[in-house]
Amino acid sequence: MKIFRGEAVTTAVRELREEREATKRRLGKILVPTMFLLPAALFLLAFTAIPLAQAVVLSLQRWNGIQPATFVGLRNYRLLLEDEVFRQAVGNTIYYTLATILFQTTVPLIVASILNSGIRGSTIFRFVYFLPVIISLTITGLLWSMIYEPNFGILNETLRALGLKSLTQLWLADRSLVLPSIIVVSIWQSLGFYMMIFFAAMQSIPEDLYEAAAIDGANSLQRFRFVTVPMLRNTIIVVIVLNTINGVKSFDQVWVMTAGGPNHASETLGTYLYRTAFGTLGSSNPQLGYATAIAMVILAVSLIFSVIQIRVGQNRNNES
Amino acid sequence: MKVRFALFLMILLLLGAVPAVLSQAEPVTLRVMSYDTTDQLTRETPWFDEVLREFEAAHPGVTIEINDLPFPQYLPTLEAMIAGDELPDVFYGHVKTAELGRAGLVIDYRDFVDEEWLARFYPGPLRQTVFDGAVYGVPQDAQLFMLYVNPAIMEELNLEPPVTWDDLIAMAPAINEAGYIPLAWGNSAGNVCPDFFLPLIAQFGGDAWALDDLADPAVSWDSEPVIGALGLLERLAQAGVFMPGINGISEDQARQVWNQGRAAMMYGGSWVPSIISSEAPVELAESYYIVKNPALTPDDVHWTGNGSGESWVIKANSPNTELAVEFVQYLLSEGPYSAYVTNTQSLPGMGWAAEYIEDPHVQTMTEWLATDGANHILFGQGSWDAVSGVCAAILDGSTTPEEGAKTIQANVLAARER
Amino acid sequence: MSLYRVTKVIQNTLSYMFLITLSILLGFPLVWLVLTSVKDRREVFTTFLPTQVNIANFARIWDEMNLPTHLGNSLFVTGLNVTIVVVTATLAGYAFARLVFPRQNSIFYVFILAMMIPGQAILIPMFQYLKNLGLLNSHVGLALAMTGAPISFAIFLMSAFFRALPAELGDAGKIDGCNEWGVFRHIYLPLARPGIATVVIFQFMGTWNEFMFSVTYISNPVLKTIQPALYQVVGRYSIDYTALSAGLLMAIVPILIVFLLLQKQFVKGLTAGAFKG
Repeated sequence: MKIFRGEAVTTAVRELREEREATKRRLGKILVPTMFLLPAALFLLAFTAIPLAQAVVLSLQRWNGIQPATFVGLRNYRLLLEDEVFRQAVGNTIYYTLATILFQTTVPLIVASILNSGIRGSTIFRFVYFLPVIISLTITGLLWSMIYEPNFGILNETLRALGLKSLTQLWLADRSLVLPSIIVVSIWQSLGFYMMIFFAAMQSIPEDLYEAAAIDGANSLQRFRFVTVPMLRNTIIVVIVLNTINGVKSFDQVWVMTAGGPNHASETLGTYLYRTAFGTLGSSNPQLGYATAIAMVILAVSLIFSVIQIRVGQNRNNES
Repeated sequence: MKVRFALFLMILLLLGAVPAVLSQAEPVTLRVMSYDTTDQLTRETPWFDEVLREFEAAHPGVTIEINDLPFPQYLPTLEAMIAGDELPDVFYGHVKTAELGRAGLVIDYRDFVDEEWLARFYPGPLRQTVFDGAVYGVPQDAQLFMLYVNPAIMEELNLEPPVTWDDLIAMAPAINEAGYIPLAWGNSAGNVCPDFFLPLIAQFGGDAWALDDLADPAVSWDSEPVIGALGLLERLAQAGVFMPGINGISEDQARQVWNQGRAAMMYGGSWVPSIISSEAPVELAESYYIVKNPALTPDDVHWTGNGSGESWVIKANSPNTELAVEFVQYLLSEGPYSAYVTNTQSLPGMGWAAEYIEDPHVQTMTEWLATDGANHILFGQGSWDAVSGVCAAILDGSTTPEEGAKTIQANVLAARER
Repeated sequence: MSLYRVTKVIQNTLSYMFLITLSILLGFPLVWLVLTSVKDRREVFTTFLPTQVNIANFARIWDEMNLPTHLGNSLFVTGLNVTIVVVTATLAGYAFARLVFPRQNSIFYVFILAMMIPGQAILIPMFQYLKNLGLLNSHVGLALAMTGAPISFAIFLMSAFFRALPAELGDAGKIDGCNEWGVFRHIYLPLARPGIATVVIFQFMGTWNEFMFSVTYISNPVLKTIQPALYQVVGRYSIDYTALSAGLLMAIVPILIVFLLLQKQFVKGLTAGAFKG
């Protein structure tokens, strides 16, 4: 009995010790990542989570900023469904996002890989391509309005000079061309940005892979297809996700070119959110709860698509 | 290294808190907020700095702090300040004046000044900031819109400037045929079309101010004067009076077209002469002239927009309220205000200051201000945006006047429910 | 061999033609800014080249707006903000890419959520929040207000850059006796230099050029950062593009310096040998 008891104690002690060590191991496993994540987490908690929580509450309220806010439950979201301009903004945002994902991923990737092919002056080219990212939006708006102006603007004048008068358009004033015209501005402005991401990622592709491919007789197109693209798969997904997020909340380029006009023809969720919160140039339109509900839609859509894109990317990676 | 970084951060946080503590210890700081007008009301502008220093000298312990914002960010910032209960002492109320006044956040001037002082202002610009009989704002300057005429083109085509809209419609084909734009203005930001359109409602016997208020059940946006004004806008657009693609042309761009002698006339506000004198070719800058906004018939009033958003409002129930009233009265008194008009050549909000205007065109405008000014600023939630959308749709022919008027009414009501 | 050489020459020529065309399209704004900054106001839209070079615009901006103060303000805000963002995001990005822990994916999505929130929607809640913290009109407050979305964006980028580096390197490091911190500090961090440089450049530029928060959260004229101060000088109705161009050129110099200084970080750090560990 005593012996039995003693055995039980030793077993219990041993189990306890094992358990403690397992906890320690488990803790250790959590402790290291926690230390790495903690600084970012603290800042995100303090300067995103708290204002975001306030925004979530605001989206359930009716508030003009002056009178006390009143809780209206999901009324703002229900009103969104009935709002024709909102529906138009959703359609425009989808169009804008798809187009920017397509062009703002492929074009920068191609440019970056040309710059990474050991060409001389790569630093200078990178510098020049980055300029539109740096230069103020006001100047972007001014220069592109000089290009798009339909009567005397650079684009139509050039077309006329080339004898292509039939191709001249009203560009920003044409309801069906206004979005594509703004998308061109966006591609132009963000090329250097996404190019930089690709270029930085390309620095971790081992040079020997290219050499090996060259020895196997691969031309530069094949090297791009069989070395660069597969090695950059993760980065390509990153750029697609970034384009999705920036597309769903797109605001700057649209606002500076047309402020969402003419008559909402280029309205996106981002501009409609701004319009319903702050009005347009010289108007008062403080539908703060309603505007914040639009922001929540933007957030939800971005999150869903980012998760899907990242998941699909991971699965593809696991397959290959 | 991490510890040092954390320490560094803490010190920075402390440093950030110091100015807040210090400013509390200072006697009185009067916080003034405005946006850049024709010239800047900042400390860096020598004449204005002098105006401020004089006030400070007369009020020991008082410091005037001027926060001058870029206009596109002015209203969002003001809205954040309203929502955060952090209003400056004195600021331009712009389109927020009605909301703020009715909520009691800014003073009714009638509680602080006498009628005689209020009578100094032109009635039109002042009326814009009077709601339910309370005066919530007083204008720093006025505004007026009109046609800027290029005399060389008119002479070349043997045309007289239009008096009525029909005159303008009648001369448009000849001007177009000669390769010029009849009337240049741009609407890509969506803000110029309401400026142009809203006074037309007055020409058709309506009142944009009452429409904006929507308090009178007999008044609505789908009423006759609005449909009539939209109809006129449609006729002008269809007659080729405006630039093709007007909804995609910026205000700046349209002005360049006129500057470069490619448009016979330009629609513009009272701030344009000072731009023309510094931007346009000397020959044009010296020869151009202005005419009134056309009217329906030669005998009608040439109603045109007359208010600016630049009206001083004063935060109510603050320890600084009395001082703020004194400051505004000082700014609008003879010495400082004549300096303002002399240095900015802005269209003054008070008749007596007209003598300080050197530009003969702006001189002329002060005469028109008393006779032809109509409201063109909308203060109500969502109304400017509703008008702006339909206005653009009329310009490119995608809606009719009747339909457009109904859309404005529906959109205004929807916005006010949110 | 000679055929190879011929194709190589053709390829290079085509590449250069493409790159130079692109340079003209994308470098145009800088050329325009430089030319406009030395023009007379009447020439801005009428001639491409200035009839005479006039550097008075630079002097005017310098005199009218106390540039050194505002540049100093911007440098402080940007420096603090970039430091916070880059340090925190590098650590967190590494954790997501190279460490294994429970609920890793879900936590990752939570961390990158911040960059999906439109800034316009946060403007007012953040204003109230900063006010409660007593951080309105404070450079620290402004720098902190701009950390949320950028940290999340930088984590996203950094985790991708770390993921692109081979896992075998870390295993080799552990065999050599490095702990987790050592592996990060001595093996991966040096190799992530191009990624870190990219994040620094993006973040420096983003904070330096930020407009909406800077205008709204700093109302004291002496504390203003460069962008609001600049736009305040150039006017509403009549933007003086000659003065604006001069001001913008002076304001982008720090960004260009940072960009060029960091270029030497874009070195190829890896060979296939590294893969074999």
